[in-house]
Amino acid sequence: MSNARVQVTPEQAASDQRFLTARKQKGTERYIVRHSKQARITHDVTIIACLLLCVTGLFVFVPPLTQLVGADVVFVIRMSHRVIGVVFVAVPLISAIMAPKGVAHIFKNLFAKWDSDDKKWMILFFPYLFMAKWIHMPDQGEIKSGQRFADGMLWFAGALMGITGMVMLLGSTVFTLGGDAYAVVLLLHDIGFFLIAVFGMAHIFLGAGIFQPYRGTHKLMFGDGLVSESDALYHWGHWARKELKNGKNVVEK
Amino acid sequence: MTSHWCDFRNTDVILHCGSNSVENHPVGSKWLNKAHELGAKWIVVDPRYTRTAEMADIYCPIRSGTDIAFYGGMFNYIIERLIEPNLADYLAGKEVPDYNFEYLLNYTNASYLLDPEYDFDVESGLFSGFDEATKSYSNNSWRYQTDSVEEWDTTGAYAWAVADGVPEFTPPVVKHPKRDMTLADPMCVYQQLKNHYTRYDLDTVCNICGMDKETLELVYETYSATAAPGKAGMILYALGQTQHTYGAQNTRAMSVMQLLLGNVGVPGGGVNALRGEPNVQGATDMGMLVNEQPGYLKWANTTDRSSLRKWLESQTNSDGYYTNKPKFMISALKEWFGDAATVDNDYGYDWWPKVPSKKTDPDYTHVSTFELMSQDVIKGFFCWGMNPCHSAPNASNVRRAMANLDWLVVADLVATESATFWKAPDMNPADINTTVYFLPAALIYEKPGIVVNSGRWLQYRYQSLEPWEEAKPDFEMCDLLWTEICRLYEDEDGANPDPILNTKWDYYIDGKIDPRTVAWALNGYRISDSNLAEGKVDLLPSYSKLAADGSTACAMWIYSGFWNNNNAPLDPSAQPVGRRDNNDESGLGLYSNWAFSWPANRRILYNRNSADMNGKPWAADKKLVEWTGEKWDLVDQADFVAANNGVPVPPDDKSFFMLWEQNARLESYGMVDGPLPEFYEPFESPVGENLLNGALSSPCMSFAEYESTKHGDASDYPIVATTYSVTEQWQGGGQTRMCPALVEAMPAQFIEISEELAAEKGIESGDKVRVFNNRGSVEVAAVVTKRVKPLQVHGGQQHLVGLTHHYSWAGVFGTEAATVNDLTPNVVDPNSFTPEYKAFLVNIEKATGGER
Amino acid sequence: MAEKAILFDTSRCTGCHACQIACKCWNVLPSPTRLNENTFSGTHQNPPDLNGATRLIMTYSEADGALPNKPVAWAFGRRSCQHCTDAPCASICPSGTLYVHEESGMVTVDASKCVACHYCVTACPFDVPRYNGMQGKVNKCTGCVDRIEQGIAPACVSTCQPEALSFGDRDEMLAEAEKRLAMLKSRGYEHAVIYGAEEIGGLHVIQVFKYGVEAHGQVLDPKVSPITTLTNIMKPVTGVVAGATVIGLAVMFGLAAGYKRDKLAYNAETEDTISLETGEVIKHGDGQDTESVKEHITCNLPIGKKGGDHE
Repeated sequence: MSNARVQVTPEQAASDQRFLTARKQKGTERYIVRHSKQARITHDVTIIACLLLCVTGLFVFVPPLTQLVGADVVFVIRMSHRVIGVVFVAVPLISAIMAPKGVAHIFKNLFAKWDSDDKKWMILFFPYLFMAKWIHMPDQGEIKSGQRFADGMLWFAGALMGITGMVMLLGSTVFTLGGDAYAVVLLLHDIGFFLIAVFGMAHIFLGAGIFQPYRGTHKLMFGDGLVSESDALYHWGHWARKELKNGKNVVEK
Repeated sequence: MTSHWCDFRNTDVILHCGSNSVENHPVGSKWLNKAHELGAKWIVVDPRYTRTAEMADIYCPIRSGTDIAFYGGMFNYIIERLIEPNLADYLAGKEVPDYNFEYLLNYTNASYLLDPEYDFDVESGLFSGFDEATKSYSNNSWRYQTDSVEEWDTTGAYAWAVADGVPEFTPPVVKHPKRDMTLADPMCVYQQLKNHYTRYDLDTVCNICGMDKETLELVYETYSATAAPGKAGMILYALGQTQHTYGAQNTRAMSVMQLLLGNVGVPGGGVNALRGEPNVQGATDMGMLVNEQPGYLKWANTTDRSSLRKWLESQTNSDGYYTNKPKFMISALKEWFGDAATVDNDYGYDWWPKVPSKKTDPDYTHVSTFELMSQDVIKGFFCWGMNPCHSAPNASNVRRAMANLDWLVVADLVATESATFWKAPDMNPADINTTVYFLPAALIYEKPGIVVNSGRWLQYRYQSLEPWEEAKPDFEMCDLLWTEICRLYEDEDGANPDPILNTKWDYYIDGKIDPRTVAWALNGYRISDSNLAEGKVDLLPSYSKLAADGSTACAMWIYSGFWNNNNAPLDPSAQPVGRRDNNDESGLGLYSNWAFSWPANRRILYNRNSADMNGKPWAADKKLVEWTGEKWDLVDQADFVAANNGVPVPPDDKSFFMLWEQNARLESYGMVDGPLPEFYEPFESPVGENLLNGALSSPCMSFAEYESTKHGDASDYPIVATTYSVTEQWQGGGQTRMCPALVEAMPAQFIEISEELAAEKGIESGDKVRVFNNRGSVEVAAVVTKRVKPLQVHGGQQHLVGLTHHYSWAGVFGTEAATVNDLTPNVVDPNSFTPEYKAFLVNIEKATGGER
Repeated sequence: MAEKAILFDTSRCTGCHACQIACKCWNVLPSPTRLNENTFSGTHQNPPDLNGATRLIMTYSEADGALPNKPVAWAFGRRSCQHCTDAPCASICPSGTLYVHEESGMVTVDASKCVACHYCVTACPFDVPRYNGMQGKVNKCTGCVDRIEQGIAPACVSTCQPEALSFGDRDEMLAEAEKRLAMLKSRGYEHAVIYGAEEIGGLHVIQVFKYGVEAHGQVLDPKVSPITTLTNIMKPVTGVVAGATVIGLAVMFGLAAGYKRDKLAYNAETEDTISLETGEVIKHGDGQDTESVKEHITCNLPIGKKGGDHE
């Protein structure tokens, strides 16, 4: 959004003035409902499981760590990796079964067509990360273009981890997976970890609001699921305006 | 074995026939590798391509049960290709590099003239002297023509025979045979041999045995190359040769082959029976048989050995070393009966039970024993260290026979099939009233003692573990039984007490039965300075010091010298049997300072034959004995008279001095079923005629008349079957079925089937196959293999199968399986009474499931 | 101690199974013990393959014979760890369970360290390591380094009666193998070959095969799987990229520190987006952005512009 001022008609200016005054008198802020409770619980449980899986997985993935703690500790860690893995796979699946519409909504958004703002945003994203103070980003719909890409990668990597993890779990207990098949599955599991490590860190950096311009976004998933009018307009301008105009998902407090 | 395991390395050609030694003698077979690597050729003749065949250079298939056709073909080949073309040259004094005529003419009976009545009739397949009524031969016409006779000089060399204390007997007369050293006389053994085997041409042999002609010719050519002076070939055989109704004739055939090739008594030669780990050699030596007592002396019987005098007269050789038999016999009796044995009571000879020996008498050999149980003649049975319900032929018949017993005692390591015979799948315990006692026996490692290997080496084994719970060594069980029997006789009296109460039984040290005192008895001692009960003994240095006058005692003359150190009579390590020096001074692998080889620590029997008539070794680099011109230079202990009272005896032709004629027998009147090995089809043959003579199967085969043998015809059972062992399991499996790693490595009993037969029957590897004949039906796992192939026999295709026999129903661990010996026929060789396990008929089909 | 090797000479091997059984006995590896628990493979090869409690098996393969007087080629093989110089199992093992015993060159096992990750199972070009589910440990030939360190040969070698197995300095074993090969060739075994001299950096099991490599159940020209190579690469790649990401994010965090922006509100009536700090309308309507990317980057840059850090 340019910092150039927009010229408006006197009627519009008067309306804006009234709007601002009324807003002040009311003393409340407007919020848009962004994530349902189920979505937040699903996300949070999965995220915690994912983080634990990453940590426990490291004890096999990083040889010095393995050797540091010894086989007995690693055994306990490996067993917990399996249990947490089951949670990681089961919770999203159960949630999806409970709310198929939500799943459809998520994937519709993921694969929505990119308009010119989306493309421009994506191009500007990397400069923006280093020059947030100077670069104004184009408005975005419900999910930013870059966010869609990153979410997609996490969905993909998560699914990959879940599937390969389950194959290995069953392949060492219920049936015997041959060496070559095991090698492929293990490599895919490692690739999944690579993706989760990179995109997961970026996701946390932005989603948890560690990045200054994104401060406060952690509340979206770990708070009440509401986004303030101002933040919504900054991050997802097109979506925010639609929601504010529509008013159905808007709460004041 | 006439040689020993380490001697394998000295050979030029190895011939395996009826042995799969790499499988069944995996330790000793390393010496074959050594020979092979030194350049020896290796031939395996076997119905299957065995583990041994894989090691060899030439594999020649053969139909089970046709060995004599194979050997006869070899004789014919040797005569046609090596002897006939060269004989005239040799007699003319020319050098013959390919054949050892000196050996044939001087050391064998080739030149001996046979009785003019000697004959063989091809039409009937019978030798002269056959009595149709008793199905037996008189051997009178098989003997030699006599040139001159000579009586024993009882004032000189044979003065001992009339000395005080020696029982009266009429010494035998030496009948010097007529010989024709040109081998031209039609009645000479060589001419008879030649005529006999002309029928055994290559085509006929192949048609009977099933191999192709090129392979057979290559085998004959390769092996008969050892006929050259200085070359050696060795025949290795085991149960594949002996477990036939003509097993003894197979052994004869191998002997004849080795004699024709000059291979007996030379390093790397010999007729080598590979015995098993269960101390078969020791069991044979120790006389665990009906006909022979320890040391290959005959038992008393009801005919020609019914008194000591008759024994001495029938058993004492007129010439050679066995002229000393009275010394061995009287010394044995002195050990049996001790002070009770005197010259006045014939040294207790009459206390011995007499083996029934008329043709019509009951027969107490292995197979027949069970027939006598079926007939309610035998009512009690000590089954000691054997498992006939599993390993006797026609085993289901054995089980039914045992159900007639009043009582059965089984002494064994584990509860074998015999110890649990009433639990067999085909038995009904409710119908059986036999009381069964089980005596748990100590394992070999749980007791001290002596074993003898195939090379006749006696080796002392120390105890390493205490027996498990109530298990006891056999000698302890014997002692407890004997002591109790004697006590009952003394306290309560009983039938025929003299043999029992006069038997000497003083083998104790510190009041405990001990094998070391038994060793004294086996070695022999001077009675005057010994008192075994007091631990006092004057051991004899060797059997040469035995006397026939009752002054020496010796239970086992052939072992004498194995335990002869009077300085430490209780210390096995100080005795020859305990020697552990593996230096080889001979350079030929004799290892003369390792343990003790009977007789007299002789490593290679008949070793006089390793040198020519002048005492010069055939092979200069393989010297066992050599006449230096003044005396014998002995690398091995002489198996001939090398010196007489310290005076060297110059070389002569007396090279086989355990025979009265002191030359080896190509033709032998000692066999009950023919003087020459003649081919007959097995008891159950897949073909309807014998291509070589008019008799289909052996006219003398024993027990074929039993109802229980249930002969099967080729029309019903067209497939030739044989049985054998695998290296992972051992015999009846009592021990090896208890070893998890062995069971895992070979968990089943199986049938090996050719790809062709499997395709015909729709069978794949791992399938269950029902194998059946008139005697039984068993289900076993199939192994479909290239290693068994159908053979061309009598112009048609003949299928063969082979079965292993290690599992049965009594296993607590391992795998439950049907008893394969339910299929084998209970017919036996008339000489040795060894059953036929190796050639019989079956049919097979893919099992439909159900019974295992 | 010089580099060691086991020599397996199939010209002497009789397929007697003793090495397989000695291995189980020395290493206290259990076999099934219950009645009828074992299954039969239909050949001499039992168990049919390595398993969690079996580190060495004899293999048996039958083919039509290549020599005139030997109608069958019954090839015995010895299937166990080959003790590679460049052992992929040891390089991929995260826990130090599998490692190269430096004195001998044998690839040995410290099962107490095993975390059952299965990496070694995937990496072995010979399909040797097996996972023992009961113990949760990987199981493979240790080279009997416990015996080697005491100056005695591995259990399989000591038990081998036909002397098909021998053990000693690797160069001596190779020299002996050459002799055995020449002997086999002279006996007409034209496919005879030495195996293990160069494979995977050189094996510490040198084998002389009568009938060629594959007949004896071994892998012709074994290679470390590209998947194993990739898996090995994935670790550093993940580390480097994750590290770079962390650094990048830190830089971003630093550069964005102190960032402030105006609070916004939206008047649906006029479709104006208004800055609450200034009261100015910063966007009218919801149209697509019209500035170029370059303008986005440069328009607010403090350099040469009127400045302002008001958003």
